[in-house]
Order: sequence, then structure tokens, then C-alpha cells
Amino acid sequence: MNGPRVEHLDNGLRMMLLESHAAPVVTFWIWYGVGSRNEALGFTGASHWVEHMLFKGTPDHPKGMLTRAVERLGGRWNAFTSKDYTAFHEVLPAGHLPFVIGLEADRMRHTLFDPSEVESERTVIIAEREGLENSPAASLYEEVDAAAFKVHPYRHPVIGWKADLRAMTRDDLYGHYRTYYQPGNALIVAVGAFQPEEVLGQIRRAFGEIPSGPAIPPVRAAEPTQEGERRVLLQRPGGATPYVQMVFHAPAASDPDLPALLLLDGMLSGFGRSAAGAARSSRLYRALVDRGLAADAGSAMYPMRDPGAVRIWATARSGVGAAAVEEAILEVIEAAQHDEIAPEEVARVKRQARAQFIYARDGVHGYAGAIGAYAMVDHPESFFTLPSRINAVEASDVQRVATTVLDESRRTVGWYLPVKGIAVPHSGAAASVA
Amino acid sequence: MRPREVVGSVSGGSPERMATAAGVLRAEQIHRAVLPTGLRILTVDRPGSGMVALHVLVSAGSRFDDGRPGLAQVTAESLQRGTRHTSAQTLAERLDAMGATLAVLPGLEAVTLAGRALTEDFTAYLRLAAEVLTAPAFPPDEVAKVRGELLTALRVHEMDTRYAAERAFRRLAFPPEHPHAQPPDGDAAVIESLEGAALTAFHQRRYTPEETILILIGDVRPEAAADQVESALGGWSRGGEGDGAAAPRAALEAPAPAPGVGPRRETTAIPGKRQSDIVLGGVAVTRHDPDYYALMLATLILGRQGMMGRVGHRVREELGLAYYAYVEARAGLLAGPWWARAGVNPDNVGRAVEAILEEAIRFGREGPTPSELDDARDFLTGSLAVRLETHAGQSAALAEMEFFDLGLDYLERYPAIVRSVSAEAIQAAAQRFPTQGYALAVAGPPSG
Repeated sequence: MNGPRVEHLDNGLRMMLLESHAAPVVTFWIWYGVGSRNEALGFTGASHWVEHMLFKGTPDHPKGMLTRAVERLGGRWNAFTSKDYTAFHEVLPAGHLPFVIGLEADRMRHTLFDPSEVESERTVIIAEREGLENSPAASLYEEVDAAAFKVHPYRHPVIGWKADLRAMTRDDLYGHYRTYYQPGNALIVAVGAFQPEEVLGQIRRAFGEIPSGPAIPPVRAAEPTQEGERRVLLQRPGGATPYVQMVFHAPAASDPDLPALLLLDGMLSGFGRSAAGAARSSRLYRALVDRGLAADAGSAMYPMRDPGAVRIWATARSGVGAAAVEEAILEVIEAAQHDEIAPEEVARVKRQARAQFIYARDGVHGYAGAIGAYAMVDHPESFFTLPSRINAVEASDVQRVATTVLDESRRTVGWYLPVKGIAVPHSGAAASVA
Repeated sequence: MRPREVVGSVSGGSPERMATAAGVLRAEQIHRAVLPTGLRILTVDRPGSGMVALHVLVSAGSRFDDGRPGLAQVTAESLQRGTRHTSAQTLAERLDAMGATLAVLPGLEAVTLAGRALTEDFTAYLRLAAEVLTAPAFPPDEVAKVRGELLTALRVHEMDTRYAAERAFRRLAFPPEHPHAQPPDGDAAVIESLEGAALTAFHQRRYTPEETILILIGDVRPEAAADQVESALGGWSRGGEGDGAAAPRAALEAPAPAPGVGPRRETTAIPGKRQSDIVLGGVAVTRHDPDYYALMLATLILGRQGMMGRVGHRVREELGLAYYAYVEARAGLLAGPWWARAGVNPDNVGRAVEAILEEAIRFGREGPTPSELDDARDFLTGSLAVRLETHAGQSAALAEMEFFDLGLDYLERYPAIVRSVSAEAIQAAAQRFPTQGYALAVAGPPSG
């Protein structure tokens, strides 16, 4: 597999096309540069809601036939919204790209925002939010971000504040859609069993006539330097054990220190392990889980378009207090800042990184997702240059970013403490459920 | 806890446990060998991928807990915490130094060990995995840590509405002695009491070559892979209480669920919650049941296809009550749960339950429409390529084929099997979804 073919159309639409014949499958992703980063208070959650509306159909692709059509081709599709971007993606047997290219071009401009569909989706999204609110860890995440960022819209949850979800109008959403869903604000990433020249032609035919829209409103907010630790306490029933989360302000993905920060994150919890829990040889695992203080622990350095954050979290083991967990995390940080980092440890994390880049190519869908996630927050080819940039990092670089980024004056610490309350079952006849 | 903030759109449906991959993996591409000890080895060559995926299935799930709920899970979770030759710490360092992964996934019928390594590390990786599988030492201090982690997880689950509703549903739908009567993660008092000796005994009894399937997919030649497996695991001795090497696995006898004459209902109140989670349904069929495919297609149409099937269409799209509302059936050697699940505002529980039941009744009365049937068949057969694209996707398909003795040509036969299921058979299966004698569990905030 060689590098991608990077192209753009006259209307500003960018694309990265990567041919791969490992399996008779293709994937198509279209990324829009819009997320909660682009939302003002009062309109939070608009990007995610618009993403939902793109499944409601267009005059040419009515609601209901969309998912059906993709599935009948043997494909799957979905979408997600983050702070920086919104992505729509399909994966399907080779040969079916023209259909999804046409579909994505159509819903970029012609999605219906029927008022009754907007209302129905309002309660669906409020239900989605209430599902998240059931989780103390998810609620703490929201609280910590709101404290860590006091100016930048990264302080808003992607799903939106509940009052905004209740108040948003159909026209607010439609305006958001018309502003951000345009060729110049989009990136296509396609990977799989195809000829790039052919796909380029298909994309040109489907998207080429769509005019460039108005200029994208700039996000002017810049987070001022934090001067001193901030603390958040969430206390309510519904949880079984304390959670500790920490957020440290970190540079944007385009910063030259990103590779060193990724290695620091790898040293803390294993490279690329954020979703799987900390690797057992990692520093956080050994200091927290192995010592019996936490049931799990982890860290993450997500590449962000604007200056973002390094995150560290742990779930206290039953009977262990939040303070003991926090203290152990701080000891790990201090050791990374002050004790010499052995070159062997950095070599081990680099080796994990090398393996992760090879695993990333297993499956076109995930591969395109990784490529796009970097391209949307940095240079289009940043994912492909990352392995060599990581290799160039030295132990002293990792120690330097540990000292500057994980500084106590730049951290926000959140605790969730359960308030007593126990689950109580009741039995009874269900004859009257209706 | 996984504080990654990405919010999806169509998600909320669960992975379909019954439908399996097929089509582009032919029998002649699968190399199968059985060692004299009964260990079954399946390999698929994927030249050039640079990696090897390992997938080991051991018939050592929680259904063998034998009155001690949690025994199988604590044993499985302790496998990687030190062997007779290597400490937990050294094991972790060796795996992490290769950038390899090895996860243990305890289930009800089987325990899965799954991971991947770079091709260049394959020999060392396989040796480590073999050690974990065959020679765990269950050191007391490590077992104590595992107990602490699992007890915390159990307590966290008890305050989780989705989990609490599932747990209550299992109690209502299955008799107490049935393996499905509770989730595989066991009982706190039992977990607290488990020491290394009990784990060693369980390991000797259930972790045997004749109860194990080992699958290797990746950039390694099948003959070389088989030699390496033989070298790493050939000396692993038979023993335990095996069902017999590679014997076709008949469906297991299990206590019959209580016949549902009327609805059984349980509500769990958990303070501090905003949403109620609903689990409604009954018992599915076994993987070997003649009606398995009809029930799978019925489930697909009722609660998965498109925007979570008829139930999702009604509850989410029409009524706007839920972010997720789907139907799922679990069919193994034992018949597992067959449930509709949804998360709704506490005020809307009654409306959602009513809508789910109405859809199930209507589907049983009308059966699938011709276009629903075409959609379902096309999806199941057409999605083979996507499902088998990754190493992990192929591993999962092979594990199912071997565990249920479906034959190496199963994936080739699968499209014809799916297409042979008639609308009438699907309707008959749909009529088995309980709309009178159902179990209904709801967990959410206290009312009032």
C-alpha cells in the first residue's frame, strides 16, 4: 500500500484516495470541519443534531430508503460528531462506491429539515443525553471540561447542554447545516479496492457542480493561560465508587511536540490504548491498578485542532478514596518530570507505536478513520508522517513535555464521589403496563 | 470508564450475535489440523499483512461455575497474572515490548483469548500465549488484585441501569439453576471467597486441549504456524472433564424456562439516574435448533435491520422516545435471551413497552413484507465481504464455525441457507416472541 492520492476540486473539496486490494471492500468517509468547537452557548449540540438530520433523507433519497439501500448492498454506514469535526462513513463490498458517492453529494446540499422530524429528533437526542447522564463518569467528563476550558468552546459537550437542546429551532439547525456543509469545508477519505483515477472521476461528477458556500465563521476564542489548579466535585447518587479525572492543557495537533506527547501518553498507559485500558507494563497501571488502588486507569492525548488536553483517569477500587488515587496519579506525573526516563522505556513505547500503525491497516474502514482524524486537525498527510516523527523523539523530549504540559498550574482535577443510595428491586404483575 | 467524547448517530443497536460472516472465505482457504491431544487448530494465510491475529476459544465459560457464580470469570481474568515460569510483571513487559495484545474475554459458554502481534514476533508471542493458557500459577497476591477489580466492576454494574435491567430480566426469564439466569460476572460473596486452589482446580478441569480451539489468521504460512503451535502446545496434556475431542456438539440440556403464562415484571429503582432502561422478552433457541435461521431473520426484521428494525422505527423514528431500541437474540449451545431493549425517559416507559409489544404482535400476525424479506436476505449475504475483511472478523467467523461444528464450507453454504428461509417460517418464528408471557425488567430512577 503506497501513500494516498491527494486531490481537490475547484469548489474546494479535498480528497485522499488510497488503493488497497487486501480485501474486496471499499470505505468512503466524508468529514466536515464542524463540531461543538463551532457552537456558541445557546446553540450547543447543533452539529450533532444536524448529523442526525442527515439520516432523515433528501427529495431524491427519501428517509427509510437510505439505510435500506446501503444494507442491501451488503454495507454498513454510520456517523459521529466530535468537538472538531463530523464524519459520515460507509463500508461496503467493492464496486458500490458510485452509489455512496452520489448519496453523500446529495445530502451535502439537499437534506430535508422537516419540522416534524426535527421535533421527533429533539426527544431522541434528549434521550441520548439522558442515557449519558446515567453514567457518573460521563457526567464528570462534562464537568471537568467545562472547568478546564473557560473561554474556548471545547468547554461544551458535543451532545449539547440540555436547555439548548430544548430550545433549538428548526431554522437554527438549518442555518448551521447551510453554513458548514459545503465542499470547501469537507474532506473525503476513501480506501479500498478501487482505481483512484476512476473514483476521482466519480467524485468530480457528483460533487463538482456544488458551489462553494459562504466563508466558514472563524473560531476566534483562545483559551487564556491557566494560572493555578482548578478543582471540580460531582456528588450524587447512582455510582458505586469514586472516579478521578485530570485534564491538562496541551498544544494543538499541529504542534511539533505532538509526537512527544503521544509517546508520553504511551508511557503513561500504553500507546494507542485509550479505549482498551492501560497496558499492564505502563506507569499508570503499575502505580494504580497493580497497587490495588484502582480497578482501571488510563490516559489519552487526542489530537485536536486547537490547543486541547492530555487526560488521565482512574476508577477507585471499592473501599479506596479519591484522594489516594489522585495522590498516586500525581506521583506518576512527578516521576515522569523528575526521574530520568530510561531509553529502553521510550524504545518500548515506540515499538508499540510501530505495531499500532501496522494493525491500523487491518481493515479499510478503521484505517480511513485514522487517516481522516489526523487530516482534519492537522496537515492532510499528517497521519502518514507520524511514524517517522515519533521515531525522531528522544527520552529528553518526553521528559520536557511531561514537565511543561503536566504542570500543576495547568491542571483541572475532577472527583466523582458517590452519595449513598442503593438499587431496590420491586416485583409485581405486569398486566397493567400499558 | 472511557472518557472519549464522540457521539454517534445510528449506534445504540447491539452487535448481532447470531448472524455470522460468510462468503469470501472458502473451505480450501482454511487449514484445519487436530493434534493427538485433541487441540483443534485453524489457520488462514493473509500474506503481506505484517501481523498475526490469535483467537483461542476454551469451553470454560460461566456455565461451568457449578454453583459458584464468578468462578469461571475469576479464573479467566487471572490467567495473565503470572505463570509457573513467568511473573505477571514480566509477562506484561514482554507483551508490551512487542507491541502485542492479548485480551481475555470470559463468556457464558466459552472463554476467548484474543490478540495480535507483528509477524516478526509470532514465535515469541505464541509461546507466551501458550504459557498463559496452559500454565497459570494463580499467585495469591495477583488473585487478590483480580478479585478486587472484579468486585469493583460488579458494584459499578449494580448501579448501571442497563446492567441492572438485564440482570433482573435474566432472573425473570430463566429458572434459578439455569446458566443464563445471571450474567457471567458472578456473585460478590463467591468472588470474595475464591482462592488460588479453586482456580487451579477449575483450570485443570476445563482448560484442556480437547476443549480448545486455536485460530491463527495472518501473515504466517499455515504449515509453519501448525508446527509452531505443536511445538508450543503439543505437550499440553489431556485431562479434565472434556466433552470429547472434536465431537459434534449437541445442544445442551438445561433446565427449561418456566412457561410464561402471564407477564413477569421487575422494576429496579436506582437513585441519581435520568433514564430508564427496558429489557422485554423471553428465551431464544439454540444455535443448532432447526428454527435458528428463521428466528435470526425474524429478529433482524423486528429489531435490527435499517434503523433498528420495526421496533426501532416505531419507538425511535415515529415516537421519538428513545435513542436506542432494538431486538437481539443469543443462540449458543444453550438457548439464550431473546430481548427487546430500549432506553427512555422514565415518564415514557409505559408507552415504549406498549409500542414494542404492538410491533411484536403485528409482526407475528402479518409476517415479513416481501421487501423486508429481500432486504434481510440481501444484507446477510451481501455483508459477508465486509464482515470478513479484518483478521478479527475472520477469526470470529472461524471460531463460530468450529465451536458449533458447522463445517469448513459453512461460509460457502451460508447464502443458500439464508435464502432458503421462507416468509412463513419467519412469521412462525416471530410468533414465538412472547407478547403475553414475557419477562419485563426496568431499571431507572425511583418514581415520584
